[in-house]
Amino acid sequence: MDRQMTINEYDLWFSDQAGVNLRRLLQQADPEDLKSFFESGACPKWNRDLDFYRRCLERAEQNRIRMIRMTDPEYPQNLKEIHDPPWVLFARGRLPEAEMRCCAIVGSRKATPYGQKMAFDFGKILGENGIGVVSGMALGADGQAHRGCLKGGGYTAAVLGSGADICTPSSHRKLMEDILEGGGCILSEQMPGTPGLPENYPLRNRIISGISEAVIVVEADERSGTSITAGMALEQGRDVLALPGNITSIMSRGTNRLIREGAVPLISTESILQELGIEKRTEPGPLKLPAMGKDEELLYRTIRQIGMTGADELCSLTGKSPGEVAGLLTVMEIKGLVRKSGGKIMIAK
Amino acid sequence: MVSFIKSCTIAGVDAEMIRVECDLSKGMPLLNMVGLPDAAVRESRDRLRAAILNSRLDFPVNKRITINLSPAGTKKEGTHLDLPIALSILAGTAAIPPEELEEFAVIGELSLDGRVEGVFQALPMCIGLKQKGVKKIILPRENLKNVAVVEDVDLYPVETLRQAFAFINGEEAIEPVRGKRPPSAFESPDAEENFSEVLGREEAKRAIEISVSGFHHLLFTGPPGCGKSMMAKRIPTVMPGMTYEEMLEVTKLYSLSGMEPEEGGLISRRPFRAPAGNVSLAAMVGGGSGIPRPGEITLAHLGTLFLDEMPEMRRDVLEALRQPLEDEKITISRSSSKITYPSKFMLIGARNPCPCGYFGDETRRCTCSMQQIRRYQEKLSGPIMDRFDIFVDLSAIDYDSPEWKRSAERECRSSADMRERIEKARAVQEERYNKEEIRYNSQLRGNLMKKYCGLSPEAKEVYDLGCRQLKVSLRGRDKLLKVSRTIADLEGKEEIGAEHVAEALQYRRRDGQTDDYQ
Repeated sequence: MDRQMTINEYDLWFSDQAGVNLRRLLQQADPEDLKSFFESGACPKWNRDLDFYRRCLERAEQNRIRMIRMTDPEYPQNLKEIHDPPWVLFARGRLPEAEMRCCAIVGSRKATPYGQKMAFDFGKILGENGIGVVSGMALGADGQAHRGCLKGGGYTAAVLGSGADICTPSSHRKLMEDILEGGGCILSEQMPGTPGLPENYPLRNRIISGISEAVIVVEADERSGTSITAGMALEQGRDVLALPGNITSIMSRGTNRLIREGAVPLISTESILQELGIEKRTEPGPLKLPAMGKDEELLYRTIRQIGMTGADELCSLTGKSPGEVAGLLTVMEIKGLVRKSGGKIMIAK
Repeated sequence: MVSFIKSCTIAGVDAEMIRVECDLSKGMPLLNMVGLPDAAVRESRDRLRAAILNSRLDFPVNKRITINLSPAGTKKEGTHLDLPIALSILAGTAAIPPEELEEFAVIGELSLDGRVEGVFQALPMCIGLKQKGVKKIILPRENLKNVAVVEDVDLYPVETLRQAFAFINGEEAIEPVRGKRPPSAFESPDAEENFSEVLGREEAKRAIEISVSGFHHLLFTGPPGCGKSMMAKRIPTVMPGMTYEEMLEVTKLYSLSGMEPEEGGLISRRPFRAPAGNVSLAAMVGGGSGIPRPGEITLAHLGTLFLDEMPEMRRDVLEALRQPLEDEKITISRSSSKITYPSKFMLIGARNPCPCGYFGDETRRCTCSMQQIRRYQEKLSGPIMDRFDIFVDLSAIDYDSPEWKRSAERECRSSADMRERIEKARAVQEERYNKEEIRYNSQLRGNLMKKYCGLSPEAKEVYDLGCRQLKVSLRGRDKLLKVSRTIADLEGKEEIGAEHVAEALQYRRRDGQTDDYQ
């Protein structure tokens, strides 16, 4: 590409205003033409002046946000293929390389401990096997997917619904820093400085699925943002994989329904690799658990048997006093065998 | 000529002795009252003139009467000064020998026909007078039943001004009632309320047991209907009994608010206060317009303060709890004065996980936005959260699950059972701290903590490993030690063992969202 020009305010204007069809039309267009196009006044939507875009450019510069035009080689190939790709992408950090395979993990912000753990585990196994993890850095499942991928030493990209310079949610500032430090990137199509407006999230979701070749849905209520993402992924021709859950759990209704409608159920953490058609890099090896005492083992087996449970049930099933159960649970938590959250205990390993 | 009579006035929690001085001199008939009387005291001059005349006693005629309430610089309030003022006037007419009056302190309100009416706050007054060395108190008969619990004081109950006058003049004897401590009445827990009715929830009951044993503040988090309030309401049934001094202190504080027991005697059960969610700042910490009154936290002194739905309470009310939780007392500053009320209470907090209550519940849909949830959880600020020693998350009960049915069938621990263990753990603490300034494990600080929270080598290992792996904050580590100490006391162990630390770690604060999975 000899004509790689710096992005100017006309690009931002075009990215922000132009209708989908125009973008398609101009995909091959000379960026220089945008200026004349702007001046011709042919565009119907017209509510921000060029000064606004100049300020956005400045802001991008200040925050070290790079801008990638659709015609740039860096622009993710997958994303170009969707119905309405953004003209300009704002990015902090390193975009996925052309040969990098990416997979999205999405799920509810109110994911249960089960959903959060599975998001983490899927993120980790993908990270370990060199597949990029794309998600939305939201609370709940999204955040855990990023964390899992980082733990597995993989590449992860977070697509925000706000400007790339604004950390949404703000409580994930640390996670954002970890992603950038881990060589990942923060992406957005919104102008720098845009707050996280609700109407931007469906737009963001199309990018998450757009970059990826497959979308894993860990937990979703029916009619939720996550379900919308899944629908969008299908429209874009992406594979949709869903994590089956208890039929009594609200957070698994959406995913179970997806499975009924034809999504691929993920029956184990490893099965994701199979679905993506790759060989597992890490040797599976038998699951190595830390040494356990007799009582710990009894408790561990009980939890394994009945799934997510409370301390009271454990007392009645094992016949131990609440004090004993509490002590054993702590030891098992330290060893990383179980997790407790919201009064519920579950197997972590 | 001048006469003097002792009485008292309430300043904050304690009674201060005052001296009623009366001077009769020649001049225009006039009654003057000085020494910062409030409206109720000032009004007494109309009452006492009528009362003296209607008792067929001589009201000094053609005299200029000056009453001084000494020390003249402190404010006097209440109607209990009627009787001492009346007696000082009568003494001024030389009807009573002044030296007779030296030994007595007098309180009582007069009605127009000369009867002596009961007064408000009689118990704190008598306790205060006793502390100032008064041995004989003349008081309304109506107040006798509430006051007869103050030791080593002779109480002379009177019904009419005439009777009081005759007694002081030596014309009529009154059999004094010697105040004595009541037999320690052990009230058995109410039949209707017992922990045995709380089916399952063994984990929470254990937490309550630990909490009450060491006077640790406890926070429950859980969806509606999981039994938070039900358990909190049963806490009084496991509270250990009070000593005479404690009962006296509690009854005194209730008397200050006009809430002394109707049947007289002392309050023998530890207080349990559960103010409503919309409680005002003044009602919570004390104060209010006019005469300051103790608030809920003072009424909960030596007992339990239960705050349901804590995040729904007003922010200023919650923040006001910080000082009392730290210092075990609350100071109310006024432009003219400062009042300090004691407030050593055990705080039991309860909250839902989110405004609608079902965040994290598997079977019911939470309708809150994430922002609402965050704002709700942030309502309990860091400093308030730091005051809690024990955190228990409760999940919703699925009444149809086989596990629950099984646990419901099991023998549930009753209040009496829990109370027995608690009493034992308390006794261990009483003995250990009898030379220290503290009484409970939750009060351990700095050096004392080092001295009394020795860990066995295995316990040290669990402590170090647990703090690191489970990301316990620095402040959390101190609490961990204190709670471990209490658990060891419950088990009757001198040294804190590994199992005690391990259990205590279950009650740490968890920040579910940000934890990493292994």
